[in-house]
Amino acid sequence: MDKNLPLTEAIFYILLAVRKPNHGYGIIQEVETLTGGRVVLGPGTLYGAIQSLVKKGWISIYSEDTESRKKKEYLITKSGKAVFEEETQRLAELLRNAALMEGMNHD
Amino acid sequence: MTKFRLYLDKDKETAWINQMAQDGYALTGFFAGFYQFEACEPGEYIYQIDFGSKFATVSDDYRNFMQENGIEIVCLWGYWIILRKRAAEGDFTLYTDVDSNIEHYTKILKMFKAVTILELLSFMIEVFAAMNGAAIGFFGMLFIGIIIVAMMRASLSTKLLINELKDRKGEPAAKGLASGNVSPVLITGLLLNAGATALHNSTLSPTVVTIAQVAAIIIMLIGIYQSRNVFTK
Repeated sequence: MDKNLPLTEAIFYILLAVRKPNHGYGIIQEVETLTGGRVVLGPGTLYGAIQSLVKKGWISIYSEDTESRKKKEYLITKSGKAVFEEETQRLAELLRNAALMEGMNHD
Repeated sequence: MTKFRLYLDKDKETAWINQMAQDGYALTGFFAGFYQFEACEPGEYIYQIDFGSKFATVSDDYRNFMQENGIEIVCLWGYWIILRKRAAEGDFTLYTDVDSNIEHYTKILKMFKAVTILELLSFMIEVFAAMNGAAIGFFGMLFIGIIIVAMMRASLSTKLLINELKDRKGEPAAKGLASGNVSPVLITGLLLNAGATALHNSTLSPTVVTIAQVAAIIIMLIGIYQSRNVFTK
């Protein structure tokens, strides 16, 4: 099995948040909104994750304008999308199989 | 206001600094155990301590990232980074999941291990120097010995913390780690070695002194062997 999977919740949501160009604070806010406040990424967690995702080539720096103090933005790469897709299939399988439990409740 | 404290547990240190901020004293600087405080509104800031990847410096990337999140770098000390955020801007926790906490404490553990090994080496170099008549003296040896024991304790407690985190994740924890206590045999060995180096300047016969020193070295080595789980994975 792919040693990259399963993704941690933090990585999963970070990848999702950079499907369009997004910066650090924007990622934290989007993940918080998407999960209704359940997942709040700490800056240490996010910084470490971004470093490792860039290193793995799953995300890349989209823009860096040092002149106008514009924040550094990140965007998911092709291989990042591929990993995300694989993970989504794995999660879909879990949900499909979870449905078996529903049939048991009526007995 | 300046206060002197020695902390090897960053979580206890963070709790103390935050308590000071609650009481109206904001940390503004740190140097070798001396903490500098300035008056602030009680509870104005929340402090956190990070562990960087470069000695006494942070990348522009890190600095900008923290700034973007409303976080100020108060000061650097070795690999340690003291950060603060205005409490009015919301909660401030650096690491919010088990994985990143394991990563964070593993970096800290590596540093503690490295310092332990360096101090053990310098202790042994001093022992051999003493046997060749160039002793730094009992208190010098004792001082290095205390650092060794303190660093080992810090390594063990960090290791226990990482084990706890791994356990929460359902991952196998490091084996053979029952307590955070340093082997008493090692402490004895360090003390005896320090004592034996002091004998080299005494009127005792050199043979007796050498036997005492060698015995102390053997006890120390047994102690190091007993403490081997400090160094293993």
